[in-house]
Amino acid sequence: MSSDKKNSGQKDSGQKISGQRNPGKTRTIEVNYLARVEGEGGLKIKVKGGHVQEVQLNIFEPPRFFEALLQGRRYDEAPDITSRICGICPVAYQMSTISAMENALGVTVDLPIRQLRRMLYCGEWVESHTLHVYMLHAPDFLGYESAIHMAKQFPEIVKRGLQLKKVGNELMQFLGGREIHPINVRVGGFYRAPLKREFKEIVQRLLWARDAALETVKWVSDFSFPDWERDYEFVCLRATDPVYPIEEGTFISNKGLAIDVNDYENWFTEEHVAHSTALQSSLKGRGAYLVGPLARFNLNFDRLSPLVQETAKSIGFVPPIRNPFKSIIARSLEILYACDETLRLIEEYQSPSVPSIATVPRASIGFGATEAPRGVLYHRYRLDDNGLIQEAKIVPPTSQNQKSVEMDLWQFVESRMSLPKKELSWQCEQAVRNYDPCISCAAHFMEVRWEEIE
Amino acid sequence: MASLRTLLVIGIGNELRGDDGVGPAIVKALPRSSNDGVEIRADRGEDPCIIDTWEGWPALFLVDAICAGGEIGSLRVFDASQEDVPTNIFGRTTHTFSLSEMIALARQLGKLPSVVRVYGIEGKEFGIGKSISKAVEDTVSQTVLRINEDIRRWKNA
Repeated sequence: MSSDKKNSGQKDSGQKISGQRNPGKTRTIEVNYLARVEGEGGLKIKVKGGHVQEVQLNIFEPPRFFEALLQGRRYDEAPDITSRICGICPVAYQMSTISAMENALGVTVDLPIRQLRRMLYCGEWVESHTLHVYMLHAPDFLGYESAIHMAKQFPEIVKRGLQLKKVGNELMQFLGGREIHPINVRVGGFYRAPLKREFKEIVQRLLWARDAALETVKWVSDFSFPDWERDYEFVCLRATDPVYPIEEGTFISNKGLAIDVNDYENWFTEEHVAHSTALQSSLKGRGAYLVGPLARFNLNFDRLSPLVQETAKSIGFVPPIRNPFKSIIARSLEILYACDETLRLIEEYQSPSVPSIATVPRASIGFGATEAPRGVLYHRYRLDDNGLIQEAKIVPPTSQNQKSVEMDLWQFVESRMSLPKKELSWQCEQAVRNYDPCISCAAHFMEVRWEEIE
Repeated sequence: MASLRTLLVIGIGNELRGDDGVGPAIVKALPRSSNDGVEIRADRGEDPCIIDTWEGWPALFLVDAICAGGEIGSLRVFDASQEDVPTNIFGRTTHTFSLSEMIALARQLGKLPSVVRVYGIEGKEFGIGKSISKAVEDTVSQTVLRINEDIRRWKNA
């Protein structure tokens, strides 16, 4: 094993360290985040007598701050504000905001606007998924502490990842005017819609990206995966048009859920848990559920393009997939889909006569849900007569998955208590990263601490 | 034109997260001249693709918040031309990858300029929605003067 390999990066703390089962004693596994703000995030697993006693995932939740910030602001300022919640998925926040605002104002946009939004969103899927697959998750499977260590042995693969991510950025820049916090997006449409001929350059880049995405799928499908599954309730959107869900749809699950977006809060609830400042989501009366690439793939396989369906079948990856570690394959297939879908949309696209339609404020409530790269993102806004926001509610995918991550870790650790502590710690980190949570931004700074308490 | 490029200066950080915003605040305050081959800009530092923008510049100055246990607002300057900077002090800011990791990755992939200088400003408060703390704010103008002098020297060297 190379000295760069991840085990050498694990740190132990505390005087009494043991990886052996020790009935009668309590072992606490703490995965702390060195990055981000101290006290905002962390993972703690408490084990006693060979059994898990407690799992606590503490996540960062910037949307809470933004919900307060939005109050009193005009409805048309909201997309610019919410796009600042996350530097990796600004489009998801903008699109859920716009969807909710247009729902509140009774606005329906034309096909070219919907196509442009879908293309912009595809750009975000490519850049966000590629960042996670190449820079954060793949090193786990290949035994490297980080992408930097992986780059020593596989510089060309890391370069391919960065180039692929860059194509996503370029698409966002082309349509959004800027890759981070796109400024061309507005309630009712865009400030400027591109002409068809302006797509020429980006098409060439997307053709390269589609090939690179195909290589990515082959690359990750050869990784070795822990043999582990769980019976999740997968939740995602189902698009109105016969396409894979991205910028609109209704809620569905593999266990019979089928509801409109405006019914979300009748079925889902958010609750405070003692160990976290974040709110934890659950399905009322049913508990934890899973959102994200695996949910979308399992419930919308029939909506993927022929190329993606064939590719998935060729590597034996067909629904239902219940192994969360294989989310990296679903994520890679979605990169391929996003490239393929954008090329299809560009071919169909005809520039609109006007880039946006006028919106008139009115006292109303609007609901919106779109598929952020890491899972469905729900927004609700209440507006007054002047279009000022009276109330904002934002439910990000990470808080929806929080309960599932904790349950995964509970069962995963329980079934692997005999593993050496370093290996188990590593697999715990990897299990958290399966969800590409917002904390993945910090996930490579995780410090795993093992303590044995008398 | 590439031949005119002499120095790239980037202030890294998130302006919505307290002292993490000190890098962007400093570069915003740096005086600009036209056609002198110096480009000054801010970046949230969340995207590793930033290293592509470093490629081709003869020199790179990076300004970022650090947590190194020093006096709040104090400045530490690192020469990263040959060696990486410590991960533990930059890793505590709020970026996807710490600045030291970005530098290491750029070096690994042959994208790092031959001269790299990192200005680290000791921060204290990184909470979301917070503004730059007074202790850090009080030292910004001094740090701006220092970096501006280094830029002037670099241009005249």
